[in-house]
Amino acid sequence: MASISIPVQKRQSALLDILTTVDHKKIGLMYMVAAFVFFLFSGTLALVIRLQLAAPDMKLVDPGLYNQMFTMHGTGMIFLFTIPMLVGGFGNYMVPLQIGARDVAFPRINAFSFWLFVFAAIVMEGGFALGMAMQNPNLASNAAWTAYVPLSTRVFSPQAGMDIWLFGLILSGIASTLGAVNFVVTAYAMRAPGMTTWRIPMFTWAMIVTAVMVLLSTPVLTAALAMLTADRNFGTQFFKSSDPRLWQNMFWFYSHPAVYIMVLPGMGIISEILPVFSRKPLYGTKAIVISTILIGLLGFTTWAHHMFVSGVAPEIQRFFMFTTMVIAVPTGVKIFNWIATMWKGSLVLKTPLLMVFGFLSTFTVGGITGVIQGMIPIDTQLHNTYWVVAHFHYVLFGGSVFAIMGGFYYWIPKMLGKMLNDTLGKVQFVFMWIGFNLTFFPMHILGLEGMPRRIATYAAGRGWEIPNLIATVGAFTIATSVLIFIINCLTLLRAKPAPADPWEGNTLEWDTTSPPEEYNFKKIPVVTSDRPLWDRRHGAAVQAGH
Amino acid sequence: MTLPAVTSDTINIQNLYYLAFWMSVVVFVLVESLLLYSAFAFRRRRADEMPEQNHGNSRMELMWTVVPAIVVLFLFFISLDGMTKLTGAGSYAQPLNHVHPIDNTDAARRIDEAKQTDEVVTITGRQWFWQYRYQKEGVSASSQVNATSTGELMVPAGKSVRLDLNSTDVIHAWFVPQLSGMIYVNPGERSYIWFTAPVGEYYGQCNFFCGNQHAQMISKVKVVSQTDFDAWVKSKKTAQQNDVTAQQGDPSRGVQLYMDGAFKSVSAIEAAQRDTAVAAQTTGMSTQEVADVIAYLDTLQ
Ligand code: HEM
Ligand SMILES: [Cu+2]
Ligand SMILES: [Cu+2]
Repeated sequence: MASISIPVQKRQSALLDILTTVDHKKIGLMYMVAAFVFFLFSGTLALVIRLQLAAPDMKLVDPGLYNQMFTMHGTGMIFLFTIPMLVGGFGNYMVPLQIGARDVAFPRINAFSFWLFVFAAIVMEGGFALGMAMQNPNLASNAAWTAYVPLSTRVFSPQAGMDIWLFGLILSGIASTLGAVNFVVTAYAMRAPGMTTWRIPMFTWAMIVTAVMVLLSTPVLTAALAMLTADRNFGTQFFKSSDPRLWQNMFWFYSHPAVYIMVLPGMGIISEILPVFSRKPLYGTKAIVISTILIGLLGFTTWAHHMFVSGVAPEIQRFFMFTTMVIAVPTGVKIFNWIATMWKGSLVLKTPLLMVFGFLSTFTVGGITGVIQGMIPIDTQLHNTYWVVAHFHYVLFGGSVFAIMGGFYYWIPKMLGKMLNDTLGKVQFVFMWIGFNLTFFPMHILGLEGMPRRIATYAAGRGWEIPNLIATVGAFTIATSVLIFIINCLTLLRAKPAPADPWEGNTLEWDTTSPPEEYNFKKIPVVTSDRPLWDRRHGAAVQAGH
Repeated sequence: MTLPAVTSDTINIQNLYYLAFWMSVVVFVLVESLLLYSAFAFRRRRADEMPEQNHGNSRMELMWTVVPAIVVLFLFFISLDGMTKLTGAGSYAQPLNHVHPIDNTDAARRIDEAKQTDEVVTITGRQWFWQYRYQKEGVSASSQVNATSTGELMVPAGKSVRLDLNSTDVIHAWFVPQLSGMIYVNPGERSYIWFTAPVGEYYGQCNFFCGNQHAQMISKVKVVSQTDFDAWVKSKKTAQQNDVTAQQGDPSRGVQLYMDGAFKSVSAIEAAQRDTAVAAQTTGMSTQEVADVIAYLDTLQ
């Protein structure tokens, strides 16, 4: 009888264990469960949004509620699902295992940051949920996830919900900053003997760069949120008398890097799965690491491309157009290196690899549409239209959700000691891929036809009906795929136990039991290459043949 | 998969878009077919299959660094060129004829001269409608459809039209896709748009989320022949002269009332502009006071 991470034998103390644990694996799993709940919640809001937009002049929800819904959908997906899932969940669970450590550097800060995140999420979603339950429109924010000043100031958004939302976001920012400190120190100081810079696994590399980005950017958002809170409540004038773009600059200084914070860990997962399922080393490991670092750096130089039509001086626009174009290059390098990894490989088309195909096929589209949109004259026609909604879902759903799903199928055997059903996984993939493209591809066309985002309804006769209807059908197809995933998780209850290394992995997490014991490794492994487990399986001879 | 266009600016943008689109199609087809091909050609056929352990190849990697770099640099430079095409020549060159607010006064005048603007319309964005004022003709209109307004922005065809945009509350954005690119309409600033359009009706709406009724902030533009336009101006003028009952407001008194929060919501302002008497009833002010506040708001234009 294989045990899962939360020991069943001590049933009476399970709750106490959850509340007091400082084990990175349990905290990682708790992050994942919490984040998944918010994915379901924010996804449900998206379904209501799609129903409302299925046809012109729908009155399913009134505009006030619609605005709250897309605000909570966006905020929930970013701050309560993608970032905590990838950084708090996968990062927490996998980084210590991958570097051969017994825990993170500061286990108690880790636990604190998790509970702070939970509290922040309850504050944010609680205001909205309570408002729904009590039919009180004043308990949630409705100023979009970007909360632009002056719409978000007290004059135009007098409701308490705005302050609740700001408070929740400030707390979640603090939680993720604390978490990031932990990763940087852990990866720097606690690597197993022999794990030199170029032997750090790709997911861990991605997490290091991500954590540094979180450290450098999140405080700026937290400051902006605090300033806005002060303006709203304590009579300060930070935004009242300033350039209307002050908020926009501060907001995007965080929120553009945040896109990479959400995508880099996903790319890390891709770089883990691909070589294992191709039975080949990652093509151009150094190039992948360098491009990760470059994306991390350049990610800080492109924020004003969100402001091309907000009245920014042309010289500044030109600079940001340049950086925006340039960042496509390291991204392209990664894509081609990944394809080269599969080239002449021996591909096992199991669900994790299919999810990688999902990532590569959709993320590429998001990358391409990003470049098109970065061209300023074109952006003046596409900014803030449904084209943008299409673009960033191709990046965030294509780039993060497919990677997260791949990560689930790849690592759940390790984390829970049980295998997910591969056939169900394939069915899920088909539904998800088709549903995703049905939902978001037509949005490009809507954007080109001038449909603005964030509109609660639209008039008939603009040619927007059919693409919108298709998008709604697609959204429910995605929902079906998520349902299949949940069913697959339920089959875990009777699934067959997973061996320590079900996929012929390369990295150290496969060098311990599934699930790992409390201190991960009986004996800390010694690392002699970037594929320690491969070497053990095949000997160094095959490694040399290149 | 194309952009709508009827003016020289939007046609230029459209051409740029076509170029970017077809280049994208090439990249898209390349990447997706490599993916599909790999999935079929390199499937594992035997459990003990052992592919060659290829760790990378600097020449190949250099190639797929340099080629994309050249492509994006090309797109960068043609976009720069596109920016100047949309603005005319000169030191005041601005993307898409949008003048940066910091240097607006001088630049606006100079661009005005250069463009020989025939018609200037001052547009004020409010939650959630647009107010149109024709400076030369001294008439006004609004995006709201009611007894006195068809809700359209009327402009003469074939004439160079300049829109002077400002907002009295939050950020809005002016966007009529066929006529020009969009620009934010920021409170306390002015944004400009130029176009010369053929006869037709062009549909647009506020393109920056501005609160509850953002979806209802329509900006329809009706481009008519000069004679039709003149006739419309004339009828507007007569209507305004007939409207002798309209109360004259005093902005200096209105400012205080406004600051004191005469109107609880911005939609109340909207209502007051439609009907002073009704607004007086709902706010408890006199019709004179309501007229004062509106007069003050008008001075903000
Ligand atoms: C589950 C499938 C999803 C569907 C059907 C969906 C649908 C939508 C739609 C229709 C909008 C536009 C609403 C509007 O502008 O009126 C939207 C906005 C947004 N979505 Fe999604 N989405 C999904 C998943 C995600 C994911 C996974 C993320 C992020 C990781 C995400 C992040 C966002 C953000 C940030 C916004 C912008 C919100 C705002 O404008 O304030 N969505 N989504
Ligand atoms: Cu608006
Ligand atoms: Cu608006």
